[in-house]
Amino acid sequence: MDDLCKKLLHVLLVENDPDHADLVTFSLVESEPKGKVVHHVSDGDAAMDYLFRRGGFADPGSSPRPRLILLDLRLPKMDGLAVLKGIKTSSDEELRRIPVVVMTSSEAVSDTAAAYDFQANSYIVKPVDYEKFHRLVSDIGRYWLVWNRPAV
Amino acid sequence: MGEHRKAAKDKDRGNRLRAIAEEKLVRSRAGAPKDLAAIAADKVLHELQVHQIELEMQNDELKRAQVALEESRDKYVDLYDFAPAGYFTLTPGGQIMEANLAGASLLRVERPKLVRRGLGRFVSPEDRDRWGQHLAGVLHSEEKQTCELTLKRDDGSTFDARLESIRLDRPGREAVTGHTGPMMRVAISDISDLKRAYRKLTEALAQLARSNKELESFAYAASHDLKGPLITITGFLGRLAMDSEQGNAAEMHLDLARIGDATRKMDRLLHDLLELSRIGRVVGSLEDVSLAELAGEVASLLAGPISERGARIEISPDLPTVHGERVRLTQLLMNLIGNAVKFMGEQPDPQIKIGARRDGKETVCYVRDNGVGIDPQHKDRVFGLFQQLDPSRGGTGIGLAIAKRVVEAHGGRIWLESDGPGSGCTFCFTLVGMAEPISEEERENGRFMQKTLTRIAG
Repeated sequence: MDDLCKKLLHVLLVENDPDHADLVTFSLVESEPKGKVVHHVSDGDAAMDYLFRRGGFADPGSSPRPRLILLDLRLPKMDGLAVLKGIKTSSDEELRRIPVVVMTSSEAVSDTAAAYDFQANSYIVKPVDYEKFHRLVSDIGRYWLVWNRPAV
Repeated sequence: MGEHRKAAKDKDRGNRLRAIAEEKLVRSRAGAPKDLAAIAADKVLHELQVHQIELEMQNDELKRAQVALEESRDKYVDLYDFAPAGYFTLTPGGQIMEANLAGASLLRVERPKLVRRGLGRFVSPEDRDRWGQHLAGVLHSEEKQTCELTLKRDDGSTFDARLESIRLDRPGREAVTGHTGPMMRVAISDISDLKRAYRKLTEALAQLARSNKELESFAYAASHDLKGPLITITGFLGRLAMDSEQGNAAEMHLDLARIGDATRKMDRLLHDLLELSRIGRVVGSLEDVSLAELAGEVASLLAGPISERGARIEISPDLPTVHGERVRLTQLLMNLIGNAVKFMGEQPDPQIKIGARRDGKETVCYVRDNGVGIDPQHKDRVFGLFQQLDPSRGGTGIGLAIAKRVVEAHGGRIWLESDGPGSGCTFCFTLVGMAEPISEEERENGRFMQKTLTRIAG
């Protein structure tokens, strides 16, 4: 059971728009590699609870360590940049090393700069064109979960 | 060298006078007899007569010079008294020795009653130290010293004054004035209008900076949040195409529903944004609006959602009356009460109170609920554009931003009090009332100041 859980590719999706969350999840699950499990939370507080295993995510079974974090910036409660900072300045080095891909519709230079300052691993602007959107999300999955070599 | 020339000139003038006098005398005695004694007496008489005429002529000239002097003195007295600034001659201790009429009328004291009063008595208490420094500065410098102070008249009225003062180094003045040390000349101008215009301009500039900043954050939010529904629409159009290829009718229906929802959300967003952009521009007329009455109207407008949620509404009669735009104030209460109804959570006995309390000098109005409450660390963000704490509750994230703008357009502040999740929310606001649109005169003042500042800056 534990082995199976480890073989699964867990992705944490932090996205407040339920429609966008569905679109991203669909594109991730439908594309290679198979075995991805998307855990969706819709605000910054919930993302922190998941990652630090607090509140509703205190049970490690409900909050497996993700191989990839997809993070929107404008979030209710704690905002995306604060979540990013929380991850990258964490004393837990395993958590610190999880790649964080910022996925947002913001094209503001200030957001891009701030995200990189807080050690974002990548910054992606959501395309309005669906074909591009679908291909992009599939590519992100393939790149970070297949090609990119994780720390552990 | 100069002295020599002056003496020569005087001599020349004397000679000329004598020649004219002699000529006059000869003409008046033409054809008189001549014996020797008579000739001697004649000669003396002639001399005397010449002198007499000379003296008369000198007298005339002196009279003319005196008239000219008097005219010139009157001119300077006029200039002194009716100058646009008040002039004061002060003793080293700041006592008024002389004042012009403009000075007396600035201070609204009859001129004779000004003499021997200390000018410092007219300086407002909070500026007394600066007045003391100014006096000391004038006494210790040969340069003109300037300062700006608030002066207070005997009747209690005040005005902003600009002082330009200089030490008068005139030896021998002590004998006349009975004071030792140098006297001072102080010119005082009333710069209240200038100050007022300057303050207005500064306010307008701050307002401009604020609205620029608002526009910036608006553009930022719009670029992010208006794109949201577009991504949803194109996204589910793409999914619709896939589902139709697979002939999955049930999924196709769901795709279409989400496209429809996103389109309607976009429409609401655009509508609310337009509303938001209109606030602050006075369109209707301003009137006195009773908030207690208005709250009652809003409660009946929201009767549907209120009874659906089973909420009890209490409206306190001590709510104030505000001078402002009825439509906007309605919007304010609509959004606050609507927000309270929406965030009642699982509360079995939902209550909303609209009331007012006295807080120091101001009246604070509030809309209090016993709903879900909010974590205090997020209490400022709720007024931001598109900031939704719980997007699943629907809405556009513009309602409270609209409420904030309405309050600010009425000169007030809005804030949120909550002890945290589960303890309900109290939205507090103050309303000063809306000012009448800026007058033509003020506009002129503004333009004048703008020009002046541009000149200074240029």
